[in-house]
Amino acid sequence: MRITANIFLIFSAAAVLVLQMFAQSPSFEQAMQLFQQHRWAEAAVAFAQSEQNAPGKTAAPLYRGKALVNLGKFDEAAAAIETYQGTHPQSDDAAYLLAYIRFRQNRPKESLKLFTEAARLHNPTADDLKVVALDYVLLGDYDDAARYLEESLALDPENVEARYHLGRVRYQQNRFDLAIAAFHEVLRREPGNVKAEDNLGLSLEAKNEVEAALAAYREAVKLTENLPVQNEQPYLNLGALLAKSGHTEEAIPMLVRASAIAPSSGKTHYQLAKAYFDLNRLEDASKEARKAVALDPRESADHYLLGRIYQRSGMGELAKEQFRITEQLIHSKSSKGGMASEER
Amino acid sequence: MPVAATAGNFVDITQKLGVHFKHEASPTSKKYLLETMGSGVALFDYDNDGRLDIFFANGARIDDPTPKGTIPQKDGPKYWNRLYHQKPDGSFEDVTEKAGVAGTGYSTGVAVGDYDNDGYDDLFVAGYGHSTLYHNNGDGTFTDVTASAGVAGSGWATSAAWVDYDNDGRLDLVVARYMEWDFDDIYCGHREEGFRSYCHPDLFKPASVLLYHNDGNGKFTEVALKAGMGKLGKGLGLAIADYDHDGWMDILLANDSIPEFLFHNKGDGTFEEVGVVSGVGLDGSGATFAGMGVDFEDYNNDGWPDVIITDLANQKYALYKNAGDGTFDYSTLTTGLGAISLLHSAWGVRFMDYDNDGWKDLFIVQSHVMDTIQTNEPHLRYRESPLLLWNDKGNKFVDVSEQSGKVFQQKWAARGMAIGDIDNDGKTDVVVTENNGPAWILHNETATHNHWITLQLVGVKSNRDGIGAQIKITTAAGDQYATVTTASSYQSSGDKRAHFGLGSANVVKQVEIRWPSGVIQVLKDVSPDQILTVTEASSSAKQNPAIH
Repeated sequence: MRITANIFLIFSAAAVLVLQMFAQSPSFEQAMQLFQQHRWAEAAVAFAQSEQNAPGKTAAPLYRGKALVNLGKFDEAAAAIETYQGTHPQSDDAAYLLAYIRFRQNRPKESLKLFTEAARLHNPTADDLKVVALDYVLLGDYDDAARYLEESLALDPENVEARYHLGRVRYQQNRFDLAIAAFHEVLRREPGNVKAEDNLGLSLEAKNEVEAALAAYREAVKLTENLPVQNEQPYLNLGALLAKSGHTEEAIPMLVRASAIAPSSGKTHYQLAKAYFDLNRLEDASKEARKAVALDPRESADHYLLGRIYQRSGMGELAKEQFRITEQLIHSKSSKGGMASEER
Repeated sequence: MPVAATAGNFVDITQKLGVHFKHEASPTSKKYLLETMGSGVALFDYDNDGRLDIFFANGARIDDPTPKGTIPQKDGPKYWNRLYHQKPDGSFEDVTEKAGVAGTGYSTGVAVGDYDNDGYDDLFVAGYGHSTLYHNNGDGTFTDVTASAGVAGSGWATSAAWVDYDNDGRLDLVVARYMEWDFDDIYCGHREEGFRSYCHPDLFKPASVLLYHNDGNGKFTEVALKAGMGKLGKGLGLAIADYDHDGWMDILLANDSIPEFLFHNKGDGTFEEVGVVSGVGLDGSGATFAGMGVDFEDYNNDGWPDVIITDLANQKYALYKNAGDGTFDYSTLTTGLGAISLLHSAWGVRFMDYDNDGWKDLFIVQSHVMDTIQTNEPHLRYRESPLLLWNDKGNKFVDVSEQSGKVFQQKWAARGMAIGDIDNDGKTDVVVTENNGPAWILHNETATHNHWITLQLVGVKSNRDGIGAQIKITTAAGDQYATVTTASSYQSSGDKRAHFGLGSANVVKQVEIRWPSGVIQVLKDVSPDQILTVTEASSSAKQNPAIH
């Protein structure tokens, strides 16, 4: 997610105003200078000193919190914001920031509660609504997530990130036509967006539009090749779909590339192992399947594939053991159904 | 459609034949699972007049709400199971009352087999809470012998299959059970008007099959646990075949959302469940799926029975090619079935050679299980058209539905399906049941000059129906194989006669029958385009055809 970068811009712009308002403490001014220079760690220390020098007199705890957010230190940031709220209970800035921090801490229910409280102080921005939506994503409530993303986009139609997330949410809802439309909108605004292109492929694949999906994945691969840091997903998705469509030979280089980019991803090794298995390259398949099993030991499909590979290689006892683990894992998964509201 | 593919032509003749059956599912606002699972159909000749008759299983009244522990009852004629007798002119008459087969509870599956070897096919009707065995009296009436036979069972029975698993000459009975389920008010799906849905099987505990050994005196003994079939499943479909050619019939159970079971018959009265080990337990990605209908026949003419299992959208119908070494290869993707079935859901399924070209095609009847599916997944549909797939020499399946008649444009909530040659014209016809809807009789009017042969076996040492016999026919084009069975599909029972398309071959060079008794009977130079009755020989020998 690229939320940190966006939040940072918001915080920096707001800082100029606050600097003018709270110019009474020299150490606070110095801290603000560091903040504006994006020297987050030094700024955080300076704000702490500023607060020590003049407790409750400046917005130092608020800005210390912002600096810590930019450092990814969410626990400390939350503590700083809560300190600030002790003396500034009506600060909408602090309220929204704390709600955002709870989101980043993967505490969506608390985050949503705080957003609700913050909204009483000030109307949420498009970015706030986007984060609310992502809270709902974390809760698996895609209907509400979609609603808030639509509201966010109504305020800021050019927000590519919100539109991308809307596409993802529509995909999760199995609303593939809407997902495709959202990803097309992202690509219209940002033609080089790898994730949008890749997810366009996923949505097309879900609609059984195989050729179009392959084209999208190929485009995503082309786009990611030009980036300094590559993403394995387009290679993985392209390779997997090629293999499923009977083009296993063509799939292999894609899957090799995916597992080179993400060597610690069990999924990439699994797909590569499966492609090798389909081509009867049993030694290669075994090597990759064992890697997948080592990385994802609770993944029944990995054990099943390894079992099939052993079986075809004439290693009956090893195969049996893998099949035993497969059934055990499947059983434990299906018996965890409980009485939750599970539809078909 | 490739040039080589032959389009079928199936015509709806239901009304013309005088069949007016309507299934009563009793849908409620509570979305009780029972009301969406449908009931099956049987095609069998109960009066031995040479013409297939039709039996439809039906639901029962379900109140909204229904108290836990209730066993629904048929409290009016609209819930009756129906037996339609085929008259000499090919039309049907409802003989339910006269035959005494209206039934009592919520009926689900049907299985036909002559369990007492008296020459008249008997009827087992599976149901929720209890099942019923009707003995065919041979005079157009049946007697409910459930209690004396000891096969009422318990729980939610779905499909059933007659099979002589110990080769003692008497048909035994396997009954699939879905799961431990009751009329609990469990809310599943979005809490919004119109979004309540049927609950996932994961919410319920599994149940074992029931295996009734035929003791030979009109009584059966339930031996599932003793026979190694006590493993708990969520069974919906049953099929039989000797997949490893060891002379003993094996049993495939299609399970919903857990691994599929293949019970390998060890030949000593016991079975070993080898679904996952053999390769039919999971799909090609090692995932479970919602197994519903099943068939167990050799689609690529290599002599080894293959497997197809239908399931729900996004899962792809699972096709397994028998590798001949006790394992199966997932062939859904390589045969084209994956792309064809990805967005579809199906129940009844049979391999059948609709154009008599010598390759078994696929007839599949479709519908999602959730009547609300389109609200949750707009690209899917509850009601679907049936699917006809032409077999391209065992390598690929080609979707010829669009070119094969108006019935393939109709949208049905299909569930059960039975196949058989209703008018004995050498082309296999189809009967389909809908959930809470009418039944459909589809007459096969495919334009072809291909030859055919249908074999009706009469067991002597083996069970009278010849169920479990393995037939190999040889023509100039090669070999074909079939297992005699009435089981397969979903909760349904098909014509026991084995049908083969012969293509242009004007003679069957050889028919080889491996009877369950072990007798191997060979017929030479058999004429095509006939229904040939073959009575089991007393010992293995080559014979000229005995035409009855």
